[in-house]
Amino acid sequence: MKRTKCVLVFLLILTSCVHTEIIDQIALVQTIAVDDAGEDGFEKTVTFPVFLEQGEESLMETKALSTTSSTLKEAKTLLNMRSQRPVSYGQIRTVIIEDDYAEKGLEHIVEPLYRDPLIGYRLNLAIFDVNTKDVIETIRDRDKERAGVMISEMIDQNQEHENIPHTDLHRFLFTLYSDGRDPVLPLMTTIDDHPAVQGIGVLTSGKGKLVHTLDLKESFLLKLLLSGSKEGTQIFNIEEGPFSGQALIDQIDSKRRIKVNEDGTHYEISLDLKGVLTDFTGETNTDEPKLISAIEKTVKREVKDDMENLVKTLQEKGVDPIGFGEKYRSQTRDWNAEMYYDTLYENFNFDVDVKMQVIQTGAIE
Amino acid sequence: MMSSQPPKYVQTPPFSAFFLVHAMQIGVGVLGFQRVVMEASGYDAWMSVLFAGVGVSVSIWLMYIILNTYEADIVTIHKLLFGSLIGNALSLILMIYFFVVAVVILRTFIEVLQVWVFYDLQTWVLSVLAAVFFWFALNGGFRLVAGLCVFGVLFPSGLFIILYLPLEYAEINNILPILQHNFQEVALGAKETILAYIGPELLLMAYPFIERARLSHKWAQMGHAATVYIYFSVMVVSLLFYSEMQIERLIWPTLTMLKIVEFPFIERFEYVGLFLWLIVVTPNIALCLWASSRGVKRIFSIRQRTALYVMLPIFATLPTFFADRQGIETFNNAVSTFGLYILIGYLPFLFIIHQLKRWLKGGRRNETN
Repeated sequence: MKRTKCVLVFLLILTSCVHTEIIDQIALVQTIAVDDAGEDGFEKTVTFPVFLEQGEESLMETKALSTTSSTLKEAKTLLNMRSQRPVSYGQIRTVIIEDDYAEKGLEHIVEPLYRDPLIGYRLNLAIFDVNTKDVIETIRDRDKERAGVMISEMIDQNQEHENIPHTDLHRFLFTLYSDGRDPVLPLMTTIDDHPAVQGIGVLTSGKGKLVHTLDLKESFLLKLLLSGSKEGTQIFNIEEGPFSGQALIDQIDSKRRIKVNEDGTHYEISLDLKGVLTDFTGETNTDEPKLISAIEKTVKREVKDDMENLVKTLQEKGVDPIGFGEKYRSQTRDWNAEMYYDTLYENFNFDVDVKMQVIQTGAIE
Repeated sequence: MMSSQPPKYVQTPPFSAFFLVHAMQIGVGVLGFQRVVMEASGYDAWMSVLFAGVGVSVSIWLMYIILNTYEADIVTIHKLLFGSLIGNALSLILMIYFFVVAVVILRTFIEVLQVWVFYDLQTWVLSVLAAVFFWFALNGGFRLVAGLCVFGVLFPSGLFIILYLPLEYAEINNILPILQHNFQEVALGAKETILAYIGPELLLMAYPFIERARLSHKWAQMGHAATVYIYFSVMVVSLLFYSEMQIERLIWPTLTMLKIVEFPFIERFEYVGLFLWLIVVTPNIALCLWASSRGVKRIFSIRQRTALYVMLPIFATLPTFFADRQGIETFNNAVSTFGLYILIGYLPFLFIIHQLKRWLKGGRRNETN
């Protein structure tokens, strides 16, 4: 009995001993937008949902606040000065960054995100080629309560089903602090005031400076090499013998293998693709076995050519989003990142070998 | 020699050695042992973990040889080997070590809580609460503490499956090629790993409380093997998950890794993991406090409860003296280094003294014959 009393007393004393955060009494930030602000550092805009206190119960709105600062955490304090409720970072879904700022380096943006235990690892980062504050304000006015998660869901959806390789805070940090691979982030733009994925931005390791961009086609090839794709769509122009037209290959499933020789001067890239033919604009019946083999042949050739061009461009630019360095590091006993990227990377030879199989043509022939 | 043998009804079965050793070894160490090991042996750290496991296993074996001969706890053994004065002094140092380990574990856990969840939580709030809790727990005697160990091992065991989930992001190229570090570096890493393995030395006090204690040796080894398995998996998963410079910056890589685990009903799993960890560290602290208070009782011939009256207030106040990361880190390192030397230095030393003494005795007996 004495013990029970003791426990009860403690239960009463210890409630609300620590700081509490109640969901409709804080500003739960969902998106952070970072724009270049010249010498002042960056302009940071945050969006958070606001629950209306009167009127309809289920109504929710999104608000945006912005401030200029040179560190992410100082910006939080500055935002608090303008916010009705304390700003909290626990639910951030997306950090979008203007490309002008990304060119200066993202190190100072992601460090505080990494340090803060409140912030999840699956948060999405993306680079916009337009002013991100404008983007945010447009979608806030249009999408109301869903505005905060919209970009994040868009990126997720594109990574899952389309041609953008998987990126999130953990993968970004992994590559940012890796000596054998460079980080990539989705590159976005706006089409008719609506955000849209347009490719991939390649950044440098360490400082995280945006140095190169890839279009959607290259981004798809990168995805094939990075993780292998499960779903992906590409359109190919078929000009093979009697067949001509555009073929759309969907649900491209790939297996990839990169081999490197002992001194890191020669790479063998092999890709094994399987896809479903979902659309063909030519005249011929897709039942025709010759057509299928013509399509397969074209795809092989095009993917091979594109892949070779992509790798060559990356070599010229001196960026390594594919992780050739990492591959070589895993096979050599005297790995030296600086030496590798100064001398070997630009000059290695490679072969691309592509296999392609159309496994289905849909429900009609 | 059998004077201090506790009555049968407070003893626990031989298999409890499994839980005692395992519960004591798995503690706050798992949350962040990777970094120190990797500083020494980089991506070959997983080998260090295995080597250290073998080393500690030998240590446990030596410990059982000594304990089996005397069938008593370390206080009696010390007295027999070194005489009353020196023996008791050595025992006292050991008891202070056990006590300080309890404080370190508590302080480290409070620190993790302060960083991850309650940034404005005062250290004393939790340490006083803990002292009250352990007062009740220790009054239940050894059986209750052993029960806590069983609970502390079984209940969170589901959590270890969660530790495999970050493999979604595994990069096998990280650990290739193996054996990039020379033997010396791997050995140095092994030394750092032993810091995380300390705990079996608690058996020096718990031995008389185990029924048919000779049989418990294999259980103790199995408990240790389970620990090696867990440390090994956590290490491999972390190596595959992080890039080298990324992990160097983290204080608690294991906890941070759980950030990636996401369920439809709970978005951030590391918070669940963190509070399950409370169940893991509780038997840790309870065992240490039990052992040290039991030792003090035996050395000064006072009641265990009286010893606790003095020790628990100190237990509640000491954590408040370590306010910042640096302080906690230094404190942690000092204590675990001491534990390391007990495990791989002092135990073999004790074994040698014991063998010498037996050999001398044996020699004398031969002469008289």
